[in-house]
Amino acid sequence: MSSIERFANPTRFMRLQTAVQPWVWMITLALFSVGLFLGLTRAPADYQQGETVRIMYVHVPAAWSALMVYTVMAVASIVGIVFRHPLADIAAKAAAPIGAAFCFLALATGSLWGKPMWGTWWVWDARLTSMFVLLLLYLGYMAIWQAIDDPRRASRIAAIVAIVGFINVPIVKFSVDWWYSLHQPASVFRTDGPTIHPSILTPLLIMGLAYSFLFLALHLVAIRSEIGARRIRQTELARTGALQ
Amino acid sequence: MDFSAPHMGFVISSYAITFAVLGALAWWIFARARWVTRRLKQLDDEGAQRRRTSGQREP
Repeated sequence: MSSIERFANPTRFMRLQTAVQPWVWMITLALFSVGLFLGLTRAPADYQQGETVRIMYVHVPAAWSALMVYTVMAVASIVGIVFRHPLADIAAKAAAPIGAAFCFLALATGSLWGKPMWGTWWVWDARLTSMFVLLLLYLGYMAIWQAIDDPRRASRIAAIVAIVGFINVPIVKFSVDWWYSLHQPASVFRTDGPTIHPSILTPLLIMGLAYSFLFLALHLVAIRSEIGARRIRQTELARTGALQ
Repeated sequence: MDFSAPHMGFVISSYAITFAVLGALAWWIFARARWVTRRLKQLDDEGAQRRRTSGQREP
C-alpha cells in the first residue's frame, strides 16, 4: 500500500481526525488570542495610515489563506485524478466553502481598508480583479458539485476546473509586480526578505498561522461530514434499489 | 489602540465582518456534521445496508 493510500483511507482518516481535532482547535484558539492581542494592543499604529493599519491583521491572512486553500484544492484534485482516490476529491470539495469564505473576507476587509486609504471601495485593478476571479472560481467549483448528481462525474469536472483555475493563484500573487496597481506591492514574501518591522510582522505571521489552523480545524470536520454524506447516499441508493 | 482615531469605524467593521463570516462558516460546518451523524445513526438503527458495486472503493 502506498503512503498516499495509507493516509487517505477514510476509516483511518476518521480515527486520526477524532484524535487530532481537540488539539487543532486548542492551537487555533491560542494563536488567534495571541495574534489579536499583539496586533490590537502591542503593534504600533502606522505613521501614515494610523489605526487603520490594524485591518491588515484580518485582511492579509484571509488573502493568504484563500490562496493556500485553492492550492490545497488543486493538489487534491491532481491526486484525485492521478490516483483516483475518493478521499482526495472529498478533501477538495470540503475545502471549497472555507476558501470561498476566506476569499470573500479578503475582498470585504480590503474594501473597508481601501475606502479610507484610497478614497474608493473598489477599483478594477489587477490584484483586486484577480482576487475577485478567485472568488468566482470557488463559487463555480461549488456550483459544479451542486449541479451534477453523480459524484464521480462531478469530481472529474470539478477537479479539472480546480486545476485549470490554479493558473489564477500566481496571477494574484504577482499581479502587483506585473501591472500597475493601487494595491501595495508584496512586503512579506519577497526574495530580499520582509520589509515590515518585526513589531508588526510578528502578529501578522501569528494571525496567518491562526487562519491556517482554523482552516485545518474546519476542513477536518468538513471532510468527515462529506465521508458521512456519501455513506448516507450509498445507503439510500441501496434502499431505493431494494424497494424496486 | 486608540478608539478615537479617524476611520475607526472601518477597523471595527473589518473585525466584525471577519468574526461574523468565520462564525457563520463554523456554525454551518458543525450543523452539517451534526445532521450527517444523526442521519447515519438513524440509518444504522434501521439496519440499512450500503450499496457496494464491484471495484468501487470506500467511501
